[in-house]
Amino acid sequence: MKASYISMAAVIGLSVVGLCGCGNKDKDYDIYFFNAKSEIAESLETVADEYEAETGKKVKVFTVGTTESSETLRSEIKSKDYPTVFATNAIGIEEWKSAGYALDESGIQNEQLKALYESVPEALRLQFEGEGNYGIPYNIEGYGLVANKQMLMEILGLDDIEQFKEDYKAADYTEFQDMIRSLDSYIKEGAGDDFTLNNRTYQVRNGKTSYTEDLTGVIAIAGAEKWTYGNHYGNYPISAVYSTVYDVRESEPERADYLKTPIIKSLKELEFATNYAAGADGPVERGAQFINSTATGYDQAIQMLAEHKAIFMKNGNWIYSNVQKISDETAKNLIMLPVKTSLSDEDIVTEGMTAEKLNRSIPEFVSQYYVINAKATEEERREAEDFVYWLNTSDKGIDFIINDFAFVPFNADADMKLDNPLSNDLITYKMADDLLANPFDAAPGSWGLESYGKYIMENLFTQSEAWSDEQLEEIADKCIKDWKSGMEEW
Amino acid sequence: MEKFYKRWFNILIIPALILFVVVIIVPFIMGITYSFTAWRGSYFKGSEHWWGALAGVTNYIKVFRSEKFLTALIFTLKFTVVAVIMKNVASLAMAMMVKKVGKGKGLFRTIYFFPNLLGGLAMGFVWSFIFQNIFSLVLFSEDSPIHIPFLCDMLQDPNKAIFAMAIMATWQSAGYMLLIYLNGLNNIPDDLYEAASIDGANAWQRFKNITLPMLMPAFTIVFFLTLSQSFKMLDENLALTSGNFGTRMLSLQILLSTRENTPANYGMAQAQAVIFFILIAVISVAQVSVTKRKEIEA
Repeated sequence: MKASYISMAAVIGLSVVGLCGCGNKDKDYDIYFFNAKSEIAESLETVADEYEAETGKKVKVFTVGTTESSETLRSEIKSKDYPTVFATNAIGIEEWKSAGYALDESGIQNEQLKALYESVPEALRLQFEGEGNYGIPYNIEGYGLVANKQMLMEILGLDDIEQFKEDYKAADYTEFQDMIRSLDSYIKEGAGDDFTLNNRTYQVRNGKTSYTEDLTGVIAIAGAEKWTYGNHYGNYPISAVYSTVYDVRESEPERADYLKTPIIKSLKELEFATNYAAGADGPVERGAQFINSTATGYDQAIQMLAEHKAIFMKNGNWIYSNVQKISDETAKNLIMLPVKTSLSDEDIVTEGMTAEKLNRSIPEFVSQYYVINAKATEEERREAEDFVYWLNTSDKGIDFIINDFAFVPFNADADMKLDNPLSNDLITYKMADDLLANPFDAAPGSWGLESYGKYIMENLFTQSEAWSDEQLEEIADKCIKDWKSGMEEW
Repeated sequence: MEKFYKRWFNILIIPALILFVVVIIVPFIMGITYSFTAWRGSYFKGSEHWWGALAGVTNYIKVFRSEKFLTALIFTLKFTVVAVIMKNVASLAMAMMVKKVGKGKGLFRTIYFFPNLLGGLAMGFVWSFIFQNIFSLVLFSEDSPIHIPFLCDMLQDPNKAIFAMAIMATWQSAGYMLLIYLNGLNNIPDDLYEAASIDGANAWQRFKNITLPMLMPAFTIVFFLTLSQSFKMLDENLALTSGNFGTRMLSLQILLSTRENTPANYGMAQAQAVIFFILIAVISVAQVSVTKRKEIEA
């Protein structure tokens, strides 16, 4: 009997210990970095080893991909082993500042890092209600109309793409439409009309070549992936009304009424583009198959671009590595062009924005920032600061950022040359100040995916007939209603 | 032995009790409390502690005004009705077939049970491929000899998507329910059927007057299981349709609602979870008491 008393007590004891957790051991690291970009998770381990070899400080890295990162960070940051430096995006700062975890520039102890904070350009700063400076940008990302330059040169008989790039940047939406139609007729019939860009005439060659014979459509569109049009295309109508993330957050809900015409126009642009979509074995038409995730997903769209089935794809500089996995040749030939919109100056209420500027610029933004945990001890903060400074300024750190992470550093200048041609284009646009912000980031709730993108997918992409004006107006009204009701809950 | 259990009962349940309290009861009470506050996940709005951020029933009012929540609620009810009927009909029919089979009974049972071993997410992705490619492009497409337009592009149509989900859910759980029904069928004495046959009852009469009433205990279990299963479905919903075309169910709605505001409105999500709990509790209790009464009558 006695033995069973003991075993019983042991069972109970164990279960109690198990429940309380065994959190008594000391931390076995000096810096804990909570990363939110899964693409660089592996490289970060090497960074940690390198940093330890150099300074003797141990870095623990924990990565959760962007979509789920804030959920995990919420519990992680409240635990005993909290991160001393963590990642957030431009809009997430609102939560971390309110909860008291985001350290402002003024609280930074490392003077050199403080100077780095100050060197972040105003437009890229991580601010709370338009004030402060809470983080160092991971990188710059951007999106636009990605094109295969070799394909364009082949079809248009060009020796060099630079002139085309210049003319395309200056072209307006009507010229863009003519170009698409002409390219489409080339794909379907082997010949197309001449078209002009910026008043310069371009001729379409006669007959297919071995490089162009696989083309099935002008544009690769991932119809099944709401984010590719919900998030990115949605930024254009929003840019006509709001200038930045903070502009959206601070404005009155009524301002959203101005979105109506821009939204309707953006839908018409999408209708135009979807008439020329490339597919695996021929053009894809709008209908159920257009949003079939096994036919028109993101990967399939990338594949069509990589395998010379499409000339263009509207997406960001991050597609480079995916394209490269399929075709190194195509990846090397990618160029970034601005997305053309049909907006006129009357539709635009954003201060300082014009239709001309909108048509020659591409949106560039910071995906994540390094933020120092304000609730960590002084010692822990100092070590975290040293690490962030080292990663962003030392030769080794910068080498990691450019070559291993394949990032565009936020302070990149014209001298910087990267493997990814799309990233080089981002730097060019940045140097020329042909930039749009990404006010879309601040769209209330999941507006891009659950309103704008959802209506496009469910009501428009499935409809092969032309989209009626009443229908577009109804969708624009619903989008604005959702926007406003999303703002109420802040 | 009985004496042993009597004496040790209280001590033996302590580990389970502690676990239950810590893992279920404490979060449950905290959850209900937080649903009345302006909880933002990592902090309470305007205060260090929850009692400083009490918001009364604001969260609940917001929930009932939320179009998304109400749409999800209605869709969940619709789906539950469709799925419960389909699962019960399919599993009972299969059970009766398997009972008739002489040789290889075990083989059939095993095959029918297999889908139940698949996880919800994996199954959702597998079926999304089946619906989008096998159904739409091969089996029931226009070029196929068995062209059935209803079974094509089921995931891209608001009216068909609910049946796509129900087909998948039935495929998954019918095998499990079959085992319960089969057990019930085996417990019906053969002499009842013999006596009925001698009295001239036809097959339908035998089914209606003997099989159904005698199956009531099994039916109680299956009905209860399928009802709560369908009502609480999450993984399959996420993987198969991700709530597109109006197929967002309550669980998915709760999951996604923390991503719909910035900063995330956990208080409101929690209020939805409380309402969800009450609904399930009410339905389950009502349903169990109803079927219990039926059992006695039978």
